[in-house]
Amino acid sequence: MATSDVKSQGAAELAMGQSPARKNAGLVGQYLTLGLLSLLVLGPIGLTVIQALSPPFRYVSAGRPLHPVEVSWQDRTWFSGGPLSLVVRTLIVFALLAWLQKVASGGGWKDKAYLVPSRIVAIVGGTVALALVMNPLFQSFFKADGNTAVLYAAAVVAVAATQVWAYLSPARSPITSVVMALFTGFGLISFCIVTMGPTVWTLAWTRYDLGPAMGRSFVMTICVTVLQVSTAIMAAYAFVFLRFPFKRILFALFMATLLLPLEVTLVGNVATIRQLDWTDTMKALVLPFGAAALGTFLIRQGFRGLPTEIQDATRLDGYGHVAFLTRFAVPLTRPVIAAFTVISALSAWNQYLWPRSITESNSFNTLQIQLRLAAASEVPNANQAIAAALVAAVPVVLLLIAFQRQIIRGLTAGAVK
Amino acid sequence: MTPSPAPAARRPVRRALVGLTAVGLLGLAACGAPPTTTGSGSGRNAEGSEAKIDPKDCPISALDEAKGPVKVNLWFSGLVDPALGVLQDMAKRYNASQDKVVVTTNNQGNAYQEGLAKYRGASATPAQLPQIQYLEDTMLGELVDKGQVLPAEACMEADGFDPTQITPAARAAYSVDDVLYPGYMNVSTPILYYNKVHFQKAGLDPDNPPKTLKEIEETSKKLKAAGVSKKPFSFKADQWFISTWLSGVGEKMVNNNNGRTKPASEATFDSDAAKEVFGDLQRMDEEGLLNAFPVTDGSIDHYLALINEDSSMVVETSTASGTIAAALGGELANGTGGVKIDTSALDGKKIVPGSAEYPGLQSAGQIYASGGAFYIMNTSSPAQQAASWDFLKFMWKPENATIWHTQGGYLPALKSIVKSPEVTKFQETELDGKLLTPAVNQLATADPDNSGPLIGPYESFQDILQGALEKVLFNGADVDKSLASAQADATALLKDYNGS
Repeated sequence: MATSDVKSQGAAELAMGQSPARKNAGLVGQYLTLGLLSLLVLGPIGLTVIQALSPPFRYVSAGRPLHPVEVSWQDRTWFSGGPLSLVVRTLIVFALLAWLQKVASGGGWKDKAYLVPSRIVAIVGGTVALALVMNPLFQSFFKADGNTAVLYAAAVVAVAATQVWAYLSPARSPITSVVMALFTGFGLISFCIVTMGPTVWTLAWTRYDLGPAMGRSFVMTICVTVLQVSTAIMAAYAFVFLRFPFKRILFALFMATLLLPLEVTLVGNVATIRQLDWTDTMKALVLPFGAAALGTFLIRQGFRGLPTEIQDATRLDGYGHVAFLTRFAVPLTRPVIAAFTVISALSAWNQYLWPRSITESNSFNTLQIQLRLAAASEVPNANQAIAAALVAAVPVVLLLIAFQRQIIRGLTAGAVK
Repeated sequence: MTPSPAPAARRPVRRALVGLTAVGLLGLAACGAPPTTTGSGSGRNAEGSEAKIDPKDCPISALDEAKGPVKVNLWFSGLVDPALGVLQDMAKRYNASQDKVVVTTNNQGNAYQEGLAKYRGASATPAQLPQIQYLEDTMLGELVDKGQVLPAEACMEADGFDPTQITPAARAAYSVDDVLYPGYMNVSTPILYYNKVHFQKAGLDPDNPPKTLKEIEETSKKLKAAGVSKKPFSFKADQWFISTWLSGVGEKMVNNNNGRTKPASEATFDSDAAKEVFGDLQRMDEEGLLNAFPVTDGSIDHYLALINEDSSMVVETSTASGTIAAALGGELANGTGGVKIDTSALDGKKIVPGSAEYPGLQSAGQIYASGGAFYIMNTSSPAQQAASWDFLKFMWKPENATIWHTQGGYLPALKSIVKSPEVTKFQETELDGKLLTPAVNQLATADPDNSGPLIGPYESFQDILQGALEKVLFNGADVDKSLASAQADATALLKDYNGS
């Protein structure tokens, strides 16, 4: 072994008594463990996707339970399905490739390290190549002409070819780069086939009217979340920074509402809504959830963590309550508020019992009601219900990805104090 | 960090004050006027009523006088495709056929219970009730007792629709004090489905399935001995089958002629016949002949047992024909289409579905009419009540009643269509039509005097009977004790419901 090598990279490991072989073995072990763990987490989702693809009885009759025995493929190309969906799917692939290049460059979005010719070629070229190779592939799946495997491999190679140049930097060997490119190609092509190829997704979407239901769920979720977060912030502010009689007892009463789950008050609340003649209205969906004790509690804890000196200083500077709240208290407790926003949005989105109790007209159903109706619609087509559930999960998954940092911060907020 | 707390000495006083205020508020809230359950009609009289229907109860002329289109809102539950699609299509075609009435259909849930729960919630605010409700046959008692249903027989009489053209067993099952309540019925009955291939393999006649529960046991023994299926009789432990076995031979589940002459006040199902049924099932279970599954929402395990070939027979509702055809018919794709299967075609196949009349306690086909029914609510305006009947009358047209049978899978509720060319063609050319045939025949010949029980609190009654069945099948409980304690519980329930 050359001395320069030892100095440049081996020194540290040798000093720690680790041979390169042991280090590699350790790495392999780590990756294997991580791979197994991710399989444990992602496996069920994969199985669900497989279940969604073909009708249940055909599995059983064919005696091959976990293999899609009969997937009905769409007669489509990359460019079919209307301009909106074309733009959306192209943008998704574009964003995925851009994200991969950002990761491969080792920098963040702000470093703009992905803005070099090789990476731009990978992003744009990859998108174009994918859009072109998908057409024969979709057709081959639809016609079941027997060339699918060959076309699949060719498509993977074509997309991979656009990525190799970009993966060469920073300082990767050609073999690593080719392997990475092939993985990228395989992953992207498979993703596009599974999400766009089978008819079951569009079928579930149209048959169970998921679009309008999802729209209503969105409106409801946004209204509930905005209301809950704003009332919780104001209530928490009052409980922490204002002085008024019976404060602690009032807070205890506030918290006591946590002990009353929805089911306890359901019958009475439904009767109230009926007497107000509010069935099938958005206000009936939103208003009963306008304030939440949990949010008040969480944000109060956040506010209590603010040093009193800040409030004193702002007072000296002549700030009133509103200015202190909006310019100091809220920005300083942003992680807690963001975490509560996500919790509140998720629970509003997933609500079933309340909307089911106060909607009568099917044209006012929320997404979860539609899913429930789909769930037992027809036994031989039970896979459509699974497909509908997966489609309905997409916005939640996107929300989780977008807010994962806040969620984790929120969960650990106050853990170390 | 928090502002300093209030002085300790004052706190208990404050707490007491706030506590008192809270209690006071609760008290005030409790004094608020409770919602009232009122309809223009009245429930059944505990003494039994002699009141006959009056055509004037049904304001059919109000529709002619109505200005502008009359809106009819229909709530349904417990309907799945393809029947769900048939109802929606029926409303669409009706709306297109005339311009006085607009019917909208709104699904209130997958299970009949969800629809009933929705009705219970809305019954206190009659103005928000729909004009038509589709609910299960078992809910007839509660609906009549709540007094918000317009007996459709009044409309039939006022409109010159002869109720005797309705299949007698269906009419009897849905009548209270000889008055037919629903405006249209989707009738279903339980039947036996079986795998002809297994019968063939075990040396049994594939076209001669068991006719009684005892014969099921004997056949199961032969099938198990021949090694063609592990647990030959797949059984969803639903009390409906028990109720059918008992009522089918004239046994009464409750007193007062199964609650039909007067409201039931006592449960009477702890009979020798019930002990025999429970005992037979338990013995079959212990001998490994019964493949019992608990009832859960949307469960398909009892079908899967047939597909996996663990079992050879199952009793299920006739409406399941479509599911059975789709599930078991998959193996018949090459040429036969599943219809007119001769014995030679059985060789080399795994599953060939067949069906037969419900194996009763004494003979085949001892059933009563079940299913779901459309009720006109008396809480809406006269024009809406008339419009509701007009829509249901549309469904009684022979061509539409036929569609309910051939596409929706429900049994013919009109006597005239049982032998009609369309129905005969359906039975001869479609697999589900063929499977439905025994159900059609047994309904046509069923004894109208052996209708199922009519009980106000049917849901809780079902739970009690269901509990006894599950204890016997899944916990190995003693049959006599389980039935006796279930009967005591059911009697207490009826007394409580009747307020005595």
